[in-house]
Amino acid sequence: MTGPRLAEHFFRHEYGRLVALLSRRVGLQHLESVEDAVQGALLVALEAWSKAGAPDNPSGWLYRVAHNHLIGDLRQTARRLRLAEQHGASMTEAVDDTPGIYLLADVRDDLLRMLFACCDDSIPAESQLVFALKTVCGFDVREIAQRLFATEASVYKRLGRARSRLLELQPALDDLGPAAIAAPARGSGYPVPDFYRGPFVVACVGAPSP
Amino acid sequence: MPKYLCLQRTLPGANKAQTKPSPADMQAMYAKFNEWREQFQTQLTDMGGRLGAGRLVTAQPVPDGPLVEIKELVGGYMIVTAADLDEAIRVASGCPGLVGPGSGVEVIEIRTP
Repeated sequence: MTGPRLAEHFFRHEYGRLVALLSRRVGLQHLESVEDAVQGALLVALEAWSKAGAPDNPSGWLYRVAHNHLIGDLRQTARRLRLAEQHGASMTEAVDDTPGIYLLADVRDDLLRMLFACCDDSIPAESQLVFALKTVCGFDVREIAQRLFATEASVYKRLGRARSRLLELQPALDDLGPAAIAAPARGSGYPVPDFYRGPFVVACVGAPSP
Repeated sequence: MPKYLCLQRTLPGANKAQTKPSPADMQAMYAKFNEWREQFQTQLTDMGGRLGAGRLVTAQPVPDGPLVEIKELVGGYMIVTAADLDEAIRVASGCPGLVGPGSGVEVIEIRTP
């Protein structure tokens, strides 16, 4: 009846892992949707697993559910924005194409990328810390406030600053770079970072002319 | 042994704006729930579940007007096997999160001939 026991800090670690993984798939501009999707998936898991026991592959299970939540949410948003044809469709298709399985190294890589994004120089130091504790470590605002001896309001503010800075910056966390360049419609409002364009430009220029 | 129907009741004064549990909270809830389930494994006959959408079927047309749906009163159910009502209540009230602010449980004997 009871499935495999969950490791200590399982939910918190999964939160960080999934946020990093999914942010990389869809881009940091959707961080809020990603966080909601992951939170929702954890809640679904809590209810399902406490009844029937945890499945054999809890991480895979969570990834599936969070991924589906996220796609549903992004589709809805895209429809609302009336960008479904270009922006939303290309985005969700790109996400659907990603394989359901992933390598362990891939995951560490994603977490590391996320950590680097959190620690971007242009984010104030105290916001960096709060943001990393939230997205990578999976603590919530109340828990962060307790640990930093700060009020919840100030933690919220720091988190907000980090998020808005990231939205301005658009660090290249997602894998959709070349697609973004090929389909400029997707990039409406999102400037494509120059270092993305770099290799692409070189490839075009360097190609032998017919 | 008699069986008892446990209905989760949403009580007035429920805190609507409940804060979402953090991942660490969820871990604690999961552990507590598992502990409870293991403790009363033999008595928990049917873990039941949450109630979803439903419809009232009657012979006469349903009268107009605001009707109270069972779903608004009862959130979920489970079935417990126990020697008597007191034991069933002990099992049900041990369930984490069932008896607390805005939520209670009604334990009812299921009579079988």
